[in-house]
Amino acid sequence: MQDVERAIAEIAGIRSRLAESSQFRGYSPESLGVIGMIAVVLGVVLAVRPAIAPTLAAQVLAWGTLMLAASVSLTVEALVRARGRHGALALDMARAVLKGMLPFTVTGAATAIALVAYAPAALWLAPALWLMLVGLVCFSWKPMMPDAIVWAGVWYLGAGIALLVMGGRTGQTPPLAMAAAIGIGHLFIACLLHHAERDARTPT
Amino acid sequence: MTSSPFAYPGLDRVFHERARLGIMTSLAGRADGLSFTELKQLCGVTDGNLNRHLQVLEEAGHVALSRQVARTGGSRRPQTRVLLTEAGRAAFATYLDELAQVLAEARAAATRPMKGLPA
Repeated sequence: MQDVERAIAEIAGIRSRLAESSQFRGYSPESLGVIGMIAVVLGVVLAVRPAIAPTLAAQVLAWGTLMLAASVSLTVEALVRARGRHGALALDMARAVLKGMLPFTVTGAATAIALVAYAPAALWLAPALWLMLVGLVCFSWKPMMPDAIVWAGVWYLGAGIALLVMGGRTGQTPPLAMAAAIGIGHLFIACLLHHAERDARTPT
Repeated sequence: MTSSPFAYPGLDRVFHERARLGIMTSLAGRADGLSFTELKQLCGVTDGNLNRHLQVLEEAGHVALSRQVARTGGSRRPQTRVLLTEAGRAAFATYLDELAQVLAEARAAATRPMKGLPA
């Protein structure tokens, strides 16, 4: 009976190695690209028409809503697309990718709530921290995404630090800087996914 | 309830062979694949045997072979790398699920008391 138990455990081990070393195809390049474009439009609108979000809190709310909506839509898409792309491995792979994303999403939301409740004057910190958290998500995805996802992580980390420096001087979140950070970052990831999908379709 | 509960259609014959099972298992955790030499060593088979089994797996679309130039020391040598395809990964996962199912049923049957015998 111990042999059977050991065999079942070994099969589970092989299966998880298989899931962890497979490239995740649950995110579509189109969705990432659209999110990047929406960020650019939002940034331009906030810069050109400041009356739409006249306070720092309103601006942070606009960016927070975009990032939350992006996280939710990407999660739903990952679960739906993974079924078609990964067959029996779909659930394991979607779980592994979302497991990498969830702690950072919760941290970003909790940080924003804490800043609103206890340090509203430091609310400008929130978007910069979100960008840095997106960078960490990119790093956590490294084993299951194209290798160059690391550069997206570096970009977001750098953009977050740059926004911290700018915010430290002005106490504001420059809308065009935020738009450039998310726009370039997400479009870069969309390009990576597009190339990975094309390579997967091309026989070696 | 199906009419043939012990048919196990997921136990694909392509995988259900010792050397090919070894090849698939060796490649399971390797996103960048393995070289022919590494695979030969891990599976304990000869060049000819490995070639024959890789051909079966390649024809089924489960593995892909790519020829590269590898740098070892100061020299450059051609090297064959073997990678699992996406279809191969999905098919092998289905096979593993079925295998685990067979073992779970065997375990359940072994712990069930037999009729006519004291428990």
